[in-house]
Amino acid sequence: MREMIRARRGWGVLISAATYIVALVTAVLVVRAAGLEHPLADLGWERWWRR
Amino acid sequence: MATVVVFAVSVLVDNSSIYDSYWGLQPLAVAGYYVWTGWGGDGSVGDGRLAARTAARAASARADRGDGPCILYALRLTSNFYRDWPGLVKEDFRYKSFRASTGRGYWPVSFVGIHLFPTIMVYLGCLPLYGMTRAGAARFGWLDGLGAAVMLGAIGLAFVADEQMRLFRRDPRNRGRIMQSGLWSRSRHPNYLGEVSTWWGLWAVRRRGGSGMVVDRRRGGRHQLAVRVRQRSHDGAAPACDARRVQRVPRSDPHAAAAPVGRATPFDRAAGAPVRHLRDYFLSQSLPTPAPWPPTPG
Repeated sequence: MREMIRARRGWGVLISAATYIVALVTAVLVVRAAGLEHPLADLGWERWWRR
Repeated sequence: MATVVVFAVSVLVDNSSIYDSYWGLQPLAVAGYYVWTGWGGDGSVGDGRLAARTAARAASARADRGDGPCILYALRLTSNFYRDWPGLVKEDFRYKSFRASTGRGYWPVSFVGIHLFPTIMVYLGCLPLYGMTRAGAARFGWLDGLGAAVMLGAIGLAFVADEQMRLFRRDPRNRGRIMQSGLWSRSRHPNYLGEVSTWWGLWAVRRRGGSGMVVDRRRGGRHQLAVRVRQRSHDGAAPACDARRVQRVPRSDPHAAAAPVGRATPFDRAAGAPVRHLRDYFLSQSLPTPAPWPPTPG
């Protein structure tokens, strides 16, 4: 199965695209669930750096 | 978290090159997320008030200067990867080298070196996008224009370099030869020059000011000094100044005035009193009354 997937370019493109979409959705869900708009800014570093 | 997902698929298909085009897409995803949250976080515009809507539109207009090149950057890099990509049968030769040299320790090395560290680099490089997409971002200035021009020029440079290399490789007569024509006769790695210059351009767009991730050395230095002195005074080791001295540090940030002041540490989110600035945290701490000076005898 793995060899078949590796041999065909279309499978590679499809798997890559699906991976990135799942990764993006996962990241957004996790960041939003944690209540973070921006992980660094919400810790206060943004304002600290700006002064 | 997204990187963990990509890494899991890399392990499943036994090919770390899954990450390669993810690099180029990350700035686009990050920029899109910042624009989305800058417009209200749920896709709506602020909370419906006219002021919020206007501010969001202004931020979005400013964001176009950084996000537009990010879209071009992602398109160029991703298309360059997939145009000649034969599929998962191919893995970057450097990853193969890692695989050969690390043996059974390859996947931890892959996670840290091929997946996690590049993600951190891209994430830090994308911090300027955050400031651009916030309401209250500064208006367009000459440095913004210069930064956007550098980004576009750098993307064009990398595109031309990659196309020249692609044409060179397609010619079977060039097999075993070194590319020494076009941009490649002027620079050893014009594609990497374009990549590096793209990030410098993004930095220049953000450097001008406004809300966001910009390091102002003068203000930053002064504030850090105030915090240090406050800490030392709090410890009682060197009562160099009292709370009034610290409070005289000007608050130039209008948003900071609305920041809640709590006694939780900046990292204690569970305490329910988020502290948005380190100085708010230090000012919220009770200090011992300074000893009178000069000290009374006896």
